[in-house]
Amino acid sequence: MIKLTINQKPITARSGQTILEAAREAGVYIPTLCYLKKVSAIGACRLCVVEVENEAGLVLSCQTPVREGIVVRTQSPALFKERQRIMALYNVNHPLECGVCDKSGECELQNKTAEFQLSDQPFAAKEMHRPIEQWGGFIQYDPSLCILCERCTRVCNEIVGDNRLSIEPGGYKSKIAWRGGDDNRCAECGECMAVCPVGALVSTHFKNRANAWEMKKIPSTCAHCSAGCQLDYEVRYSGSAHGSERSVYRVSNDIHESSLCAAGRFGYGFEPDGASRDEALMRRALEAFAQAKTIRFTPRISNEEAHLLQGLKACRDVNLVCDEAYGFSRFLSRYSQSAGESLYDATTEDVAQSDAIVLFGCAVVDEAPTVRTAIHQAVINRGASVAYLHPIEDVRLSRVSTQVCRYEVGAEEGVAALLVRQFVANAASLPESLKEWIGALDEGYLGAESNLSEEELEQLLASIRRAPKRTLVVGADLYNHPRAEAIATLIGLLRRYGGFSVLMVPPATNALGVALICDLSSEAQGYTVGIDSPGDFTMGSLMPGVDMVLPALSQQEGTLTSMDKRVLPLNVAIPFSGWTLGDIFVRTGMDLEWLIDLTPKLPGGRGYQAISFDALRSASPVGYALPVAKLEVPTAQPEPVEAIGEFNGTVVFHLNPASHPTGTVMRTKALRREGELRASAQFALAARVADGQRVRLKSAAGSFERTFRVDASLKGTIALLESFDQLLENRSRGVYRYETVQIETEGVGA
Amino acid sequence: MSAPLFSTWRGELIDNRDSGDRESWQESSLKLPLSLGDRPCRAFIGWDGVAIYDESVDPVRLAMEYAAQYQCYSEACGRCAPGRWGGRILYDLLDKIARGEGERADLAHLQETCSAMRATSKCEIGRTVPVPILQLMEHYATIFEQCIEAGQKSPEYDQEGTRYAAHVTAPCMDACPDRVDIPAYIEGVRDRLLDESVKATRKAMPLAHTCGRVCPHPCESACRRANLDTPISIMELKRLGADFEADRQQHWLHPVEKRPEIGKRVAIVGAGPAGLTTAYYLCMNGVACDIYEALPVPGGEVMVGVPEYRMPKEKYLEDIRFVEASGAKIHLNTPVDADMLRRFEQEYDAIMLASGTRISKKIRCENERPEIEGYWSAIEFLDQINLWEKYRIGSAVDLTGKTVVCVGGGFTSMDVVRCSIRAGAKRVVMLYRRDERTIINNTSLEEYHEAVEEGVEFIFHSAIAQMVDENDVLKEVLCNRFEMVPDPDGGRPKLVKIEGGDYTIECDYVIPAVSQDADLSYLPEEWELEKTSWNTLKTDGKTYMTSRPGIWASGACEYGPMTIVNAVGQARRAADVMYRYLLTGEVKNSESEEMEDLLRRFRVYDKKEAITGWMGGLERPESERLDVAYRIQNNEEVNFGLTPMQAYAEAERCMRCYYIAMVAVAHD
Repeated sequence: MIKLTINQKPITARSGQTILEAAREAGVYIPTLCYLKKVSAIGACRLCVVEVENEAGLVLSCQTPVREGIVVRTQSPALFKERQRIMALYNVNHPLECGVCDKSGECELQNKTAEFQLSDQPFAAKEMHRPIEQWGGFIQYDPSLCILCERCTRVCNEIVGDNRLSIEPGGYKSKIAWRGGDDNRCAECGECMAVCPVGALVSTHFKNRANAWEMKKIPSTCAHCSAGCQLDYEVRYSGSAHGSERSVYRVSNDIHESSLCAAGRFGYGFEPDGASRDEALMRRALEAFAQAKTIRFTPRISNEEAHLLQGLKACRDVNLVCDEAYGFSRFLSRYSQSAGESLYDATTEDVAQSDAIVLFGCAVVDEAPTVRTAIHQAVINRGASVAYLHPIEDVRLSRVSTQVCRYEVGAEEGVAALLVRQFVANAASLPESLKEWIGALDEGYLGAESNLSEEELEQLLASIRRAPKRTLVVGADLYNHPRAEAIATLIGLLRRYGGFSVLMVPPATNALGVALICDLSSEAQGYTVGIDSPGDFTMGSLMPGVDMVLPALSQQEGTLTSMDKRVLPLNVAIPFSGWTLGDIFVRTGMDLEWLIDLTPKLPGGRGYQAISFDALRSASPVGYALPVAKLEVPTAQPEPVEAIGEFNGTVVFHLNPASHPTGTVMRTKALRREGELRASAQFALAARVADGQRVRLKSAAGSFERTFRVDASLKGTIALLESFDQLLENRSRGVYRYETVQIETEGVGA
Repeated sequence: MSAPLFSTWRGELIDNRDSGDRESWQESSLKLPLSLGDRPCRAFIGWDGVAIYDESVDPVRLAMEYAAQYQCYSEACGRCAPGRWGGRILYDLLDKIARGEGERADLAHLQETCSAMRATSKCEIGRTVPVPILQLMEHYATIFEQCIEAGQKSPEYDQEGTRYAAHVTAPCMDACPDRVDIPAYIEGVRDRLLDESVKATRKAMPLAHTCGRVCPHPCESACRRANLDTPISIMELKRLGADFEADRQQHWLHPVEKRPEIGKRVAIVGAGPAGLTTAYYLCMNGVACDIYEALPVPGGEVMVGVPEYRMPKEKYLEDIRFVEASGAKIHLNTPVDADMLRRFEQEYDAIMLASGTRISKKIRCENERPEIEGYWSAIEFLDQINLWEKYRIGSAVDLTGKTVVCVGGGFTSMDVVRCSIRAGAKRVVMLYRRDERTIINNTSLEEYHEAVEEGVEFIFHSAIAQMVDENDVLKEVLCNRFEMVPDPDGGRPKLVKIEGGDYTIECDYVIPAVSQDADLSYLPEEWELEKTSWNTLKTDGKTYMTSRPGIWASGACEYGPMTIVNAVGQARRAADVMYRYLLTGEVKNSESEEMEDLLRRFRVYDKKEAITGWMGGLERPESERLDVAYRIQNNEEVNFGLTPMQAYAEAERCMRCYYIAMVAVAHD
């Protein structure tokens, strides 16, 4: 610890902390415009200058580390004067039409101008025409409002990992340049917009719709994927006095601490229409539940709802079917037995702290944007090695990956076996039976069939040699693999003997909660109640035309279990006027006032704790983490590796982009669109399809239509198939993500 | 010494405006620049002061032009508010005054803006630009006031008689023989944009891996941070960008796009640093280059001279492949002879001689006969070791149980003794005539420290007087001991032999590593290329063309054995001159090159300068090294380089000491 004095107050700071960080932690205010806690010091605004005793001149506190014994002053007439001068320069030619600026009321330039008592613009320079630019679908950049604080470029590089933004130098003509158009590499996540301190970056969906002070912030957990990002739904009443209706105007977040992806930021407004508290409807629902043999649902339900359903199963034997979570739940339980731990141990923070990261069967950029951010952090801060093991190379990882191993589709079990041989074989205290299993592996066959060479494996081993902290990230390619459970056993061994921490990316929003709370069955049988799923009686918030409309995740209190194994609260952003799942259970005689009364009663055997819902929001960080318990289990004996099947013909990979993780986005204004089929020019040639052409895909599971796009960033012969827009017949549910299909172009309508 | 009319440089105020005739003018103690190329300077203005040489100089215009230069510079940056807007306002106001439209309030606004820039600009360039402007406003106040009061244009406002040549420099860049844009590549590290970092390096230095590892970093001796605490670890910061390119497979991060072919060809003799550099910059300018290399491997002395543990082959090959990616063709196993050169002169549009210095000099002791078994020249010794260790060519060197005495004091001798340790020698002695401090100055503290750690025995103040053999087999060496007597005139201390101080060392090998000579026997005699007294190729040291038109020379064969960065610096300059020659037929330095040379003579770094606006007391980081006991048994790279966090913290210490220097000369 380092001792220093700030404004006559003794303070202790950690070595390497900057003066600004130490001051902020100690509650001392230093003005800044460009500072953004989650990225490296920018040093553009110069407002954070302070006086340090015995040092000549002013010292920039955001980039100067603390030193033992220094005496710092953050406020003085001289400092005020310098900061005032800086603000005077910032206000050179900045338009003062705050009344028509979306940022007014939350504009940091406005605030600082007021703070430093500038009532006029003492300097001016010749004005020039600076047209507004459109960055992709919904983000607008107005260079005449931009103060070049560089926050946007920092987050794009350090947080998002796209590095699509840079300073276009030009003195006072400088502006931010966006390179995101042609090669489709900008995630359009809006992170740049979120961190903009002024009104230079705004969303076209929000522009001119509301003032900052008119909206109310409702904190909640993002409903789109399993990352569990904390966000605020900003809501406002609109419409006439008679039909005044509350709706979400935008989504925001604490920009210093957290980030959101496109789905989280722009995917709002997915609440269903047509909710009603019609008694006849309730009677139908009660009848349906009474005769149900199966409840079929999606992992976009809360832990509490999952707990209700599991309770139903416990008291009268109904099948709980959740296609998206089933494979994952089986995978997880086999993994636990093999790893000897109740859950996978790692979190995204562990990824960020890693020296070596191996990604296996996880299309991380699209599947887990927060993990991608963590990878960038590990690379930037620790120089981590990153090995990407996947059948399709992802150019968006090219700035971070040290190794790309493109294995054959279907070869995941073989790859896992080779990883075990490479990383586990020399481990101490390896059981004999495991040694024998490793010894019996046919490496030549596995290597050849999976297309993973000895050199690649050696390089992989070398990359972790000097890496004290290693993390293996696995994803949805594995959970529904025909050999998923055998693979899970091998991943468990990599955890137990290979020195890896393991992070699993759950396949959907609350897949982990469902997997932990519900005892799932594989097949629907008999009379089925479908929650956003097919059934004899259907209910839900996402699927069109359901018999009973249920509240969306933004309309209920409850909790989700995130990828980081945290139990996180949902709040009511938009009121719901219909029946809820809880109402049905109450009508059947359950003693339940609020659904969240169940929050402290979630299964303790799975690590859930007796913590009340209300305590979750006030915790810091929000929610609580499920503990990872050691299990006293013997080392699992892996199964013999099965022959690696071949995927010939036209192969598609079911992958939804990060901005469109699920069908939820189809209910939003900003993100609604049809899914596409995207592939390389090579694929287009082989499959005889052209960019923009409508195609019909036929597979064992049925047929449907897409527009085909040639994607210059893709290589190879596997096409990416988006299917988020197919709620009912969503083909990526519960099946291996690669599929051989037939492509037809004859007679397909535009 | 010179007597300017007026100067504020380096805190020395000289004002001869009222001193009558020139003979009675006060002289400056500084080496103020007097001419740019062959044009006499009329004024020299920069980060610290302004010097005016004659009365005709218009101080208002001078200030305005200097501000305009900053405007140009900030076109390339503009990354802080004081710089971005301050620079603009400064120029606007000075121009307003100069054209006779200024108001009294403008002077106050100027003061105010200068003050903001001085206090809070991000780079030194923004902080220093107001310095000479304020000085002119103070000392030439009457002229400024005249313009305002009378509404008059400044004396030279519309005149075209004066040319203002400006140049952006920095103390570190000025000290770098290759003028690498050091603050820019450090900024890339600071911004976590390592691709931008390596691109900035490669604007002047294609061998980013190499000079991120084995450069003797003269820049660090001119780092202003030393005035505050310790110099920035400039060299090691270079390595991050290079490693990023290699490790993250970003091949290749060229600083600029290659230009279309211009239909010219250049032959280059030698694929060492100078040859590679010449080829890179010419190729990127659309000139086709063939590099002819006598050895079976590319890279010259850095490949066969510098050991693997210091400069891993794979990393150097990254640099070489990078150069090849520009289109350069390397022809290995192709020694060039006089006939070939005669042919080259016909077939190519220009020739670069970069054949290095590959003959080890003799120790000059008694009985120094190469036929004595145990006498082994450093070049041959290192060739054998490196060709084997890096390429498995030839055979391994095994010194198990042997005693090696190396005579030297430079990097080559360090490589010899540390390789000898790794080859298993029982005892390794480094004999050096001077003292420890000098050997550290000649090499680096790290190098010396690592050698000592590895068990090299340094014997100072000693030289071999005689080799003692039995039947042409080396037995021992007889050594003289010296004492260093300070030179009363402040020169290098004189070595005086201590009578009766002689001693002997029993040894199996004597390895002379005192220096190397150039082998120029391959040149056509009738070309009669001029040589220096050191038997290297003579050029003017500015364009690097030899006495024969169309034939250039750079690197060790021109300068004598020096550093890699020196070779690269010469070759890059030569490549630029050659490119212009290929386009126009003229051999001439550009104004920017002349400015580089002018500033080098003046010296940008001022070790007495007091630093403001930065907190001192922050030490430079030390990178992790391989454990001694482990490393002496193998050839693995010793230095792991800075960790990212160390590097970022180090980059934050960099003060970005860019300066603008400007000279006023009479128009051509």
